[in-house]
Amino acid sequence: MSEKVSNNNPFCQSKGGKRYREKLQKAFFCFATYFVLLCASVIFGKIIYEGTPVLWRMGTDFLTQKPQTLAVVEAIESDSIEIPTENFDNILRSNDDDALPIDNVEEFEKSFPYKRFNLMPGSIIGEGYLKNLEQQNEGFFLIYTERDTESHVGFSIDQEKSLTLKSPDFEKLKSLTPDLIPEKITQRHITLNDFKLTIAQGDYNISKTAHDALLPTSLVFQMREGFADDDPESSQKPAIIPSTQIITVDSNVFFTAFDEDEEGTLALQAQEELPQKTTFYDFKLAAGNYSAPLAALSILAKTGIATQHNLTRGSIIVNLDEPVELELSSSDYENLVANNPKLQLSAIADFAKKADFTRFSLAQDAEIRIDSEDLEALNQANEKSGNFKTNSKNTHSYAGGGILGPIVGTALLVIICMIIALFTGIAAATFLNEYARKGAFTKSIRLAMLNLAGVPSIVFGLFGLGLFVMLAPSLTSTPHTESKLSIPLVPLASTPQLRIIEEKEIHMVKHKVSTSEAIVAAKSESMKYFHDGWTYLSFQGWGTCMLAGGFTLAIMVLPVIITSCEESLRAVPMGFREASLALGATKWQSIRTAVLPYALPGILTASVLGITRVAGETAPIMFTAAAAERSDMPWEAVQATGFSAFIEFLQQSVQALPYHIYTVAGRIPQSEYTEPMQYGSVLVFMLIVMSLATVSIWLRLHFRKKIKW
Amino acid sequence: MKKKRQKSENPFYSGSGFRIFGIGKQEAIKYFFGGNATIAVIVIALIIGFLIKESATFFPQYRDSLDLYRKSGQEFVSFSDEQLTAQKKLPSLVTQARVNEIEERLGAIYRVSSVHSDFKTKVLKNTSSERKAYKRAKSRLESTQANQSSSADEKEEAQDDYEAAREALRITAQKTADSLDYGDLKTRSWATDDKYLTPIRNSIVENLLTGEQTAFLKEIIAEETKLAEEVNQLDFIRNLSKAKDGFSEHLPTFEKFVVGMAEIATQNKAQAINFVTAKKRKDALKAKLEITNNEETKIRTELELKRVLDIEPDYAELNKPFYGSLDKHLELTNRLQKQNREAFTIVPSASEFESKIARKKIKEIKEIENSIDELFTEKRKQIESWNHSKPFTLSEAITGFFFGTKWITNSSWQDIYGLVPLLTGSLAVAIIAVLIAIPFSVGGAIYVNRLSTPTERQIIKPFIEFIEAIPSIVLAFFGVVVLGTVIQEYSQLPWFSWIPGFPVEGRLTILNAGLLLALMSVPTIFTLCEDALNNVPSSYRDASLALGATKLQTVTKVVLPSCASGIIAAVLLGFGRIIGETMVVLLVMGGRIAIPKSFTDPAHSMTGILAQEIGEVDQGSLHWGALFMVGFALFVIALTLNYVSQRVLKKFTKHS
Repeated sequence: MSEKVSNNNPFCQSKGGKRYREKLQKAFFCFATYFVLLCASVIFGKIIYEGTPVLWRMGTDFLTQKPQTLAVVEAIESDSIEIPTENFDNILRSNDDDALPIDNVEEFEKSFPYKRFNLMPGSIIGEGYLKNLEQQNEGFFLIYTERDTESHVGFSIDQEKSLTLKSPDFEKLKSLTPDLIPEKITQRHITLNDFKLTIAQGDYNISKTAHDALLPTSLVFQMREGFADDDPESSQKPAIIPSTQIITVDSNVFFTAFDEDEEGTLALQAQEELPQKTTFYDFKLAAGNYSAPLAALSILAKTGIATQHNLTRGSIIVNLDEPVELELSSSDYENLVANNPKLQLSAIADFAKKADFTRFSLAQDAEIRIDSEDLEALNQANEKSGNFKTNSKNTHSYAGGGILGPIVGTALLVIICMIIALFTGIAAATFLNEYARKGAFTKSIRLAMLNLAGVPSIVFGLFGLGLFVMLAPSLTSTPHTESKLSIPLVPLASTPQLRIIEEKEIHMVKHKVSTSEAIVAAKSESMKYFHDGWTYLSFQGWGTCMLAGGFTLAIMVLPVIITSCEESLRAVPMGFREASLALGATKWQSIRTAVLPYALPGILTASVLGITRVAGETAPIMFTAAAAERSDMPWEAVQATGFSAFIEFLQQSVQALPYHIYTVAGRIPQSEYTEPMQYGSVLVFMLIVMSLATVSIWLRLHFRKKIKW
Repeated sequence: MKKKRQKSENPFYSGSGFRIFGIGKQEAIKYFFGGNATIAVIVIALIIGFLIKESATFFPQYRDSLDLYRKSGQEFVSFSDEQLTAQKKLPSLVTQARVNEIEERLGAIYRVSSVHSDFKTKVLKNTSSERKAYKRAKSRLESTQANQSSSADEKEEAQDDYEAAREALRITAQKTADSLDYGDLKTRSWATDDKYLTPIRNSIVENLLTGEQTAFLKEIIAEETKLAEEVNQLDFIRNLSKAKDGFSEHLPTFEKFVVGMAEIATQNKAQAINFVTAKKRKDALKAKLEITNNEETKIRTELELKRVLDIEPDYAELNKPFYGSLDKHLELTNRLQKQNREAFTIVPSASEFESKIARKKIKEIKEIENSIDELFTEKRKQIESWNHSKPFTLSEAITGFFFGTKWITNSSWQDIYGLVPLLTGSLAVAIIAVLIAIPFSVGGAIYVNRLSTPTERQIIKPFIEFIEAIPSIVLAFFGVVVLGTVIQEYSQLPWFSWIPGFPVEGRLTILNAGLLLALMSVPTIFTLCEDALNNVPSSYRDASLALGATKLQTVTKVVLPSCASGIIAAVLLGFGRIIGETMVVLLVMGGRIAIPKSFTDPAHSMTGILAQEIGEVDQGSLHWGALFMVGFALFVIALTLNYVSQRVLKKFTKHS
């Protein structure tokens, strides 16, 4: 403080320069504050500015469609292109209306011939045909339990086909279906040599071609280093022949592995030729529908006859309780009936399916943006007429459609997380505030919470990956072979149905063996699961799924929830509890009736705060729950029923909005087509999170003002 | 409340009275709540346990892997390879410097062709249908003219069509070209002299119609070549070119030598790995043999079992070529070094260059000049003392991880895990962010707490909380799409050139991430600082004011010192939060795994590497262990920061 005193302040006065400095300081503080606000506003502003037009153009479709790949197509001028009206509207929306050179738009109704029929129990149907039926009839999913390999199956030949078969195959075919083979057959005899070789002990260099040829033979050779798949065919690696051996190989192997012209072949001590005679049969099959045993069809399939039957496993026996009404397009129906002789159908009826279609013409070289689903519909509808032709096509992944999947996924994750976090959080806060006395126990809990709050979110992700995805226990009758620990509990487990065994790749243990033996057996057959009639507690993890993600997020947000719940409990005056206890209520009763209800607003605030935190996080869900791509909604993929359906529902990975943004902004090639998707998703995400934040801030201010005891 | 069931102990009320193991309902409820509270403890214990469990196997595994690396001679080759890499950098730096210098000296004219081609793509895109129509008309015209039988009418019609199409194309192209400006360029900094704008536009249209290089462009290119040749003839540039020849003269022979050695090492390693995995493969086959009932499988498995080689390779024999190559290596490196010394003397000094980037490159060359001999001698020493049979110790593996400067994964050569580049990246970005955030957050806290009006406070505080809620991925997105380009462009401005590291070369840099993280940490530091300011007893303020100090004097001289530790704690907590941040550093920092030299370089971070790599590795592999080890290090750093700041805070609370 200076000695020169001027008039305003008799005690202290600074020089003009000092006052100036003071003003400058104040200006700096003021600037610092508002600059931060300005920066944030710029970010909000930019995103809103770029994102709003996207949302405006896409409308609600942005929120109600799944993310898709966008195709940018250069179409050739053509008239009367047909497309379902729904897809047509979508295409209009994906493009700027005025830029699209579409003309002669005309709506009409198109009808498709269909068959309706009842599928009778006990029918026998080929696997491919069943899958087709299931695809065209929503809600029809046959969990079959039996297959049939005995009965005849059908196959069709479009045009006359000439076949060549080797002698053992031909004889087998003849014995299976004598009727099938026509009168006219040509025989050919060809002599091929087998070779008996003596290979001396020693060190050799062996080429990859020779190595591959020798693998199926009985020669014992030891590679000093193995071949990789991407090694060139001519590369050579050192090998040892541990002892002198005599082997017999066919001509094919001999000429590849012991070709003297090439380097890297094994030296032969002696070789001897053993002539072998082979007979070939040539014959022709006329166009038409045939019926034959499965074994015969598998021989024929080797010669290139196409079939939708599963040749190794056989046909499927329909195990329905009562007939099911199904429908199928007429052409598929013809195919089905022709190739499945043991199919029993009743109440077959023709009907026509009608759909709204739009017909339009395109100008030359029009550049159109089309979502992949619409493009598929467009191609399908014009397959026959050939009206829709394209010059060039570029695809941009994640650039089309909307963001329904990510929004739903984020919502599900938040719900699961908050159920878990609120339950434990409120309970823990109640304990800490109402029951616990000061002591080592409470101290350690508080210390743990404090530390938990400081753990980086990616470490929670690691933890979730290690614990929930890879190790968490589950109760199952079909444990995974890679399970960390499988504990057999009770020998009562229903055998899984055949279809599930086949699709999940379950190894069925026939004779009771120990768990470890069962695992080895399953692994040696490269099966993923095994079943031996016991129910196991298997530490195999839950996989990348919303349950794992929900738990990880819940743990992350727990300190926030506990702290704020505790705060709101503490705010309830002591008098409430004392009065309640004095009236004779027990501790729990007074907590339940006199404390918790009054802390409810605070708990509500805490939960909104928690949701805000959780919804915005990316790192913890990256490898615990999030999927980059998923074409259906989580509930559409559930096939089980009852309680297991609920479990199956939770054990799915989901798309999540923050992860989706990460994918579109950081993991795929950027182009002008992906940009709208980026800004749109970011804007929606920001609006969701920011409105949650606003609610939580408002709630807190509101209750602080309102509740005063 | 059910009042009827009453018991004796409590005359007023008693619970329903069921007891299991001596625990009544009230106790059961209490223990249930207590159990939930324990979850926090359990979780933190589990996290520590998990990180330790998954990373525990890492060091022994890493040691074994490094052991193979040495035994197979790969280590030997890597020494020469480092020499090679250092040497290779010289000619490339020289070339870059020359190109940059030419670019700078040519100035506006140099960028004309880039602008031309950039504009052309834009025009091409806008005129695609017209161009095709034009092409069709043209081909039709040609075919009618070539065809003898076509009538005069047809020819005329084709001619008319052709001209109409040509005119349509010209008009559209001209319109599009005229609408283009330097502001529309893909890279804004290409903007060149205004006098070129109209000629460029016209040249594009002409080029579209004729399909040939236009006179304007030819002229520009000729001019450019002439100027470039002039620059090339400058004395110092000629010296530079000579130096380049010097640097690269003996490079190919040395490279051939290193590549040859590397091939041998790769083969050696394949044999070593074959041996190491033999036992495991045998065990798997034996287990399969035991359980199988199928005769055929049994025979096959037995055969496969016989085919497994389990004789240890003779490493001394395998490594002979390396020991034998010592003399050749010495000869080659001596030649290189001699040539280098000569070349360094003719590298012109940085002051002769006009281009800033070129000067940077020359400075880099000078730095290499000072260090390259040392590097060569050091590596030579390592090569001479190399011994394949000396086993790696565990402590070497540990120090190799914590002090290693390389992080190389998924390589066909050898995976090397060194924490330093990741740690420095994380620290660099966190320090920059905190340094930027401190003035804003502390200043903001002082302003809001002491100087602002209550209305301002009511707006600012919720707004700051609002900023805290911005998801990090949104900020990261902003950094990738907007901020990177903005920084890159504005750093070219001349009045920023005093800042070291400017102009910024890439979009994704530490600086970019640091700015975003600064914004992210402002709310944390701000809130805690404000709490600290609030906790200063009002008597301090009153006393100061009563003594005649002004408001600001009170704040800076009395209030701030008394809550300094609170502010330090706030900054530390903010620092902790930034170190643990993932998405921004993953997307915005550029992802180059190397120790950053300046804050405008791209870098990688500990959190970023975890997010990027853990999804793609197998559980239990070496890489997996290394990543969990990184996670563990991150965890320890975060907890230490947390602990220290809590201690500081506690001390401060007691003090007041």
